[in-house]
Amino acid sequence: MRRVLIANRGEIALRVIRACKAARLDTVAVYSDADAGAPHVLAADTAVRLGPPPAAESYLNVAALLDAARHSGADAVHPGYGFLSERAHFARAVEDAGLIFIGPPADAIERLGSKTGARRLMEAAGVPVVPGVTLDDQSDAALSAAAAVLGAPLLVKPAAGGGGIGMKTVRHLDELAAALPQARREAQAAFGNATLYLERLVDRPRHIEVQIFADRHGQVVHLFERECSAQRRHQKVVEETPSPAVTAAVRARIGAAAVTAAQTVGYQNAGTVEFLLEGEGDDARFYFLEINTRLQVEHPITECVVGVDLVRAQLAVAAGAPLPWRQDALSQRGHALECRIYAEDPARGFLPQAGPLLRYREPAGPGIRIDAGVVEGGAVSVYYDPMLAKVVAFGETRAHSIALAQEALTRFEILGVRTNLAFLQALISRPEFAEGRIDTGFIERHLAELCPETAPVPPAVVAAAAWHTSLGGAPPPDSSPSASAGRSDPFDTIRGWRG
Amino acid sequence: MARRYQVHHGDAGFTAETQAQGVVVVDGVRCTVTPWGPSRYLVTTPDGHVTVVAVAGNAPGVWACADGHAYEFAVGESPRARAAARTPAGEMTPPMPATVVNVAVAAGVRVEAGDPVVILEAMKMELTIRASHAGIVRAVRCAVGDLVRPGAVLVEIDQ
Repeated sequence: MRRVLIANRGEIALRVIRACKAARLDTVAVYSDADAGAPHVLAADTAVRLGPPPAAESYLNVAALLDAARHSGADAVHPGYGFLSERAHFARAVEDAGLIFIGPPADAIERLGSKTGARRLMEAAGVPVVPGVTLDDQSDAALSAAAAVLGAPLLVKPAAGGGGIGMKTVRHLDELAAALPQARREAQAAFGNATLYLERLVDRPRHIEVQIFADRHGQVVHLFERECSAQRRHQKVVEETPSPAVTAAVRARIGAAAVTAAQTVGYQNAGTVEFLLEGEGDDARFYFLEINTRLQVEHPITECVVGVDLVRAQLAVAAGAPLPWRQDALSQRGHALECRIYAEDPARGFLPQAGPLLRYREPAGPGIRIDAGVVEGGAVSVYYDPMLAKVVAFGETRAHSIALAQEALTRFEILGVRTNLAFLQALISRPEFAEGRIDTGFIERHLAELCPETAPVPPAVVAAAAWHTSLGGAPPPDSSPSASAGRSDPFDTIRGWRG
Repeated sequence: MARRYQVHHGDAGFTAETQAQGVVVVDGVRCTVTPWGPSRYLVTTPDGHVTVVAVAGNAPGVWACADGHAYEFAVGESPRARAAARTPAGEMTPPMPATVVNVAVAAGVRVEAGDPVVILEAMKMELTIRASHAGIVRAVRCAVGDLVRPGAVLVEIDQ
């Protein structure tokens, strides 16, 4: 393996490019027309255009990606997360082209890609699963009858899905009729498959996931848990490790269950086994949700606490090397917290935002790691996921990393698009967060307090905005009498603006 | 020479007068502004508190942030001009660029306030545009598959 094509964009493409460079591997970036000149394109040794901005014509275009690999002489492909990372047909196409797919084998992705299929496999292997219903008959009538047996509250999920897309909560059975067509539409649009399945809703669960890693030689390890209970509409917002809810006894059990899950499907490379955790202390119960057959967005917190480089290991294992770690040598040290910075407007239903990044200045300092995919002067486009950056704080204790993250969020300067920075600050400053009492419904229940309508504007901020405008808007020295007269009129001075 | 600016933030309005040597009086509060790196300022208020403020953008659209909060200002814009810039009542417009996935109404149909009129998809999410008031749909100005942008009128509803 000498040259790696990164079939992705944004922060994860940059993350993989850095790992490749550290491993002395050549890098090939790919880009759509919306990303010409993007940071990941500039960071790679070479870059190949895929097509127009829509993902279907660029980052999801398998033929264009394989052409790019062939054209650039790449011998391996890293899919990142999202896009084609969990599409078995892509992994297979890469393998069939004689290239190394840096991820699990295509048939493992295939077996785990269907939630219903994965559930059956895990049940058979003795991994606990949430009670649910899988139906071959996908008619409204059949699904309604099954829902009545299961009882509300329940979840309607796309069988081929992930990331919460198309997932609907049905609190009362009479809401099912409205949820089914919308879930089908979103499932079809996002995954090309409208098959749905129904699952009992575990009330106030915590989201606990376990990082796993397997090599070609039959070794499987887990790298402990991450807690991702701070979610909004099933999208993770803040993740941490170790989880304040996982005791040593539960950690041992859930880690062993995750390794069993990986062995059951002949897993290789990095993966994440997601569980719901119900109850407290050593008696807490966990249920298998799904296996994400890729690197996770939140992988850096594990890297901090376990002291590993997961992408480096992905590259090595894909090239055939044995796992660089033994289970009994892995341990957790300190605590890490990740906050995802999105271009979105919390005051307006978290609508994704697009626009120019007029100013983008990252915080830095001991215990702070920023993984970002944007630069000042760039733009946030409407075509892709609006995540701008991840703030990862790594402290000696949980309280320490929370304090580091609060400080970093305060010092992050992003202007030109609205972001969730203040929302994240409010979230991790809640007493419930400090006490480690967050379940997956916490954000939804406290949305109003976390997104204040309008914060009062400090006079100091108004003063700086006015002063800044006065510097840029000064009329030229040889200005005409009419322009000079306009100095007393703010609307004339605006016209004299010189950028 | 002193200059006066009208600075708007949402529904709040401020008058700021810039004077010599970095003095800016905001609604009677005397602040002192000192440059502190590119487009960043130290602002001292009468209570002695110092705030670091970063500023970007071209008037009238000026952005600023301090202590982890970002603010979007309209500087020098008259309240009259702002009101005119708003979308007229009775016209539904998308909040962001999006693709139309469903049109739930047709011209001549009666809708109640809050009824879904158009369903959009943007960034893998569905957004429902709802009727802002009850009335008869005068015209539907979009079709399934259209890429629509803020400001584009999707549906007109008579008052």
